[in-house]
Amino acid sequence: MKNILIYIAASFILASCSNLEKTIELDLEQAEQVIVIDGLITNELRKQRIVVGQNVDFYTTGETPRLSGAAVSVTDDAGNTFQFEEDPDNEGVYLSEFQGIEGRTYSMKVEVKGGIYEATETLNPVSPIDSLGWEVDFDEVENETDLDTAYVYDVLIYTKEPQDTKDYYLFKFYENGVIQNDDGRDIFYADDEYIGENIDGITGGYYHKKEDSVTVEMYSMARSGFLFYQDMDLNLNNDGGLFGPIPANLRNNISNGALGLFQVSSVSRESIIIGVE
Amino acid sequence: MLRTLIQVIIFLGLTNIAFSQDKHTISGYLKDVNNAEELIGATIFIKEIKNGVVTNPYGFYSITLPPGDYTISFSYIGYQTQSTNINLSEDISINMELQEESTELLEVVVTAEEEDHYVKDLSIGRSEINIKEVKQLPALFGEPDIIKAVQMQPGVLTAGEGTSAFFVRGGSSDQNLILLDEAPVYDPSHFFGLFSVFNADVIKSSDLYRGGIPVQYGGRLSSMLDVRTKDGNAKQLGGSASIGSLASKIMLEGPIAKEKSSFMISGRRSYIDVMAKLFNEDIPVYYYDLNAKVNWKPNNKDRFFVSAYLGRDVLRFDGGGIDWGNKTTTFRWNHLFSERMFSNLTVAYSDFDYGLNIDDPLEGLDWTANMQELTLKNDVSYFLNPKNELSFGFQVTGRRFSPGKITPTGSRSIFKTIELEKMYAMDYAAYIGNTQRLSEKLSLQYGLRFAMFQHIGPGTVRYYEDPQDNLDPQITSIKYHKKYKPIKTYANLEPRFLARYTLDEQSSLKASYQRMFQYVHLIANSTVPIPFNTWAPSSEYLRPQRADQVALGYFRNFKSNEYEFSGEIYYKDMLDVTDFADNAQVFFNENLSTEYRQGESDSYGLEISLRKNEGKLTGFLSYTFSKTERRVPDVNDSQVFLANYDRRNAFNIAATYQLTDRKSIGGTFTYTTGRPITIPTGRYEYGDGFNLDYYSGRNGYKMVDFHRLDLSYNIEGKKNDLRKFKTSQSISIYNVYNRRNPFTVYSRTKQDKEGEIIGDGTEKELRQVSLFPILMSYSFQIRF
Repeated sequence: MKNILIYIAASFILASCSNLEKTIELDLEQAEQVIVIDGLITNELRKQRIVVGQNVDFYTTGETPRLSGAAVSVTDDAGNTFQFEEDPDNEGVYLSEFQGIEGRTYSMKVEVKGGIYEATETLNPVSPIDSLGWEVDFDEVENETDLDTAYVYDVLIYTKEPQDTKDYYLFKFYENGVIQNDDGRDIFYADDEYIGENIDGITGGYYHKKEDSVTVEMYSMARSGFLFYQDMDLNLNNDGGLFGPIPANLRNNISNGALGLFQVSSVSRESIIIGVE
Repeated sequence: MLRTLIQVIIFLGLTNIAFSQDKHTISGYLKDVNNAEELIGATIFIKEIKNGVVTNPYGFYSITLPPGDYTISFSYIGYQTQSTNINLSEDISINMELQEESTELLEVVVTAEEEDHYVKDLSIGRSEINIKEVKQLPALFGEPDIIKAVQMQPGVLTAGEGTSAFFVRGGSSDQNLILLDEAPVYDPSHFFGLFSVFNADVIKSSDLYRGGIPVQYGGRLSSMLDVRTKDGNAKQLGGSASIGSLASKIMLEGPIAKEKSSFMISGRRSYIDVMAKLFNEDIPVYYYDLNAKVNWKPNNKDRFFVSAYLGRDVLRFDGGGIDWGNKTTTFRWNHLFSERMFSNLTVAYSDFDYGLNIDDPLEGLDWTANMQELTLKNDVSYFLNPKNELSFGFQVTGRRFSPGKITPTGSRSIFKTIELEKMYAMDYAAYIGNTQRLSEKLSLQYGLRFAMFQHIGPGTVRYYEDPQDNLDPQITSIKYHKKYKPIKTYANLEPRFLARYTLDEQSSLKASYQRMFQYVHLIANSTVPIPFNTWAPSSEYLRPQRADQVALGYFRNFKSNEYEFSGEIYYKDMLDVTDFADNAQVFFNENLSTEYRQGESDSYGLEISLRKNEGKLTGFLSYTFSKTERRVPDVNDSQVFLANYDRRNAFNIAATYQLTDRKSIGGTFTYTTGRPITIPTGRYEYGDGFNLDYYSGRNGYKMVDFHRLDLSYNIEGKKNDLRKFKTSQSISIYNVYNRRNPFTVYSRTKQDKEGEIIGDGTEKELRQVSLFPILMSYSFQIRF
């Protein structure tokens, strides 16, 4: 939301010259190797998951390496310790089954390749999604049959934004069980700085077609999470720093220079079948 | 220090007054004979004393001499020199009108004494932007633009084509004081910088000061661009109209009371939106400008000027729109207290605002922000004697910053009304200076400016546990300050010094030192500011920026002033330059002060300039070697990095060649080293298939070099005194050899033309964006 002005400015200029773009190859220096941690603890009883990996050089292709053999644990402020075990089927993925409790503070500790990486975050509540709805965006409809076959349906979200707390949100959209994020280019995050209490049918991020099953997840986050996704948005959608900020690494809550985020969230989730009354 | 200086000046003044009792003053105004426009910076040369003075920005001059016979010559570049013999036995007033040299004359008349102003002038780092020359040079979309000419001057760098931002001697683009009839213009750009707000048809003069900034001015670290509009023809009704590829403009000027009062009014509007409609396209983007000026010169003693500017950009898009613009108004009163004391009182108002509007039942909002300032200032020149010219004055400015207000549109909107607190500031300055001709060879200009800046109430100050913690700002206390109560005060002295030593008739050496302070800061963390960037006053957590600059220059004219050469070197040391933390959020951030990072910046450079003013071929060549580094805590891990606009070499040529009386060609060529850019060195995966960039440092790479050739062909209509209308046409070709110059470089996951990811989505690529291919444009102008 806050960056809308930059995007408008940049897209205005850049759109006018899209045919004046080309791919260039630069002789880049080697990137120093940095640990990447992707941790998520939620208030749902599930196998909580922490992924440990590292970065690669810019032009290196293929999945980035995951790191095996790390010691991963999470403790909470009620004195519980959760040891994470590496998933035998997934190298570098560490799992531990428990349920996060609202209001508790969780501390992660990852020991890998001789380094110790720590993060601490509190599990904030999230208000429930009251309901989902759908509507046809008639601007997208070209003919009658589009209503049955085309991506012309918006999903509508109804919820309340508590005005007495400072809240940060992450949204995820699934269509027929598959996450929608434009191949890793879209992120839906928000703070409540200028949001009023009533969210009466705000549209989701994507168009759907009739009979799609759409699921919306709303995550609470700490401020560190909000900043992380905001920075990620700049990282993925930068213009090189001409009209937007000079690109930089994402800020996060993990010590010792590791990349990634230790996210601690409450989740509310709703599903709807599009086009069904 | 101030007291000592004043004492010295008073002493100098008194000694001179003691000896000057039997002296008399010659004073008056220099004007153009055709339209009575005053000539700024024209030379009045007294043969007998081999010395002279120049007219001030209002065309006024004054010189005091012992009684005797004198030969006085009045000269101005592009005008025929006039001489007159006088017997000075009492104070006299000579208002001289000069005739513009026509092109035909240039070829036959060898003027005895050409201008040698840059050699003799007490100025360094100054470039006059010749508006006539700008109009003959190639223009992007047929729209002559002085900012584009400014960007070609030595010591000036750009971030690329198509922007109105310019960077002077290592300073950032918000460190330029851009004055339109003495009112500051906060955003000089239209269409996100493609054009500037300055309509070439209304400009009388524009001077860029890269150094040697006169003591009358302060408030910005790096440069001053002093743009003054035409007063309007006081002799007869006239005007011009022109049609360009992108915009059209019309200007009317004429006497209200002959030679006593005149007006000028002008309007300009772009019309791609109108053109698009003809082709059933919808491109709802436009800008417009209005300039108006009235003056009244009831007598030689009093002159009044009122000028106003209003400009706006409007861009509509699907579901909303944005708009922004400047408004300025200036009232000026020139008063002669005596033949030797010239005073100018200015009241200037300036306003910049922007708005964003989203039309949607749920996400509908209006977002507005603005800043306003009102200035009262008085500048007095006291022409003590031919050796000393005192200047003194004061300035008071009040400012209001409204960083942002969001209002929901419609009752279902998810937004609530929220406004960032307004900030107020007062700014006081007083100065005294002297221009002293110590000997025929050595002249000095020195002065001291005292400036005080106050962030005042009403206002709430948040005090932070760690003012630099933007991750999790912890407010320790909040204090409300009442209306007009000073919240934070900064006071500083700004010494200025300039010396010129004449080596011989053709050459001189100059040296200067200046200290500048800047109290307002542009809130932008991009390389080029966008119109939605707001400004903030110096305050609890934002210190004033400071710059010390020394410069040395060698000036030489060749072939009886046909060629002007200058070489200057400078070193500039800046303290507390305003920068922002990595990934800073500069829009609508109530804890904005936690994003401020202030550091130091060093810049040095060599600037070479060669001008040819006479003959069929005229123009200039400039070369700049410079380096600018910054060190800002928390930015780039507190390590030194190259400024975003650092370019080692910049070379420009601008020339026009008069083919015949009526036809001319113009050309410009630009070469600059590529701009530094921040490029990822690595990548990593995170979460739901996000493929992120990893950066090793800021501005570690540079884009490929930039070079471009532009050409223009200008035809004047047939010259015939019987005709009431004069026409001219101009064809410009921009980027003649169609080079894909780099505008910016960004990274993305590899994708095809339709935006579909290629491969498994792990492959990344760097994309270089260019702005303009070869472009042709045409403009037609009619003058009457």
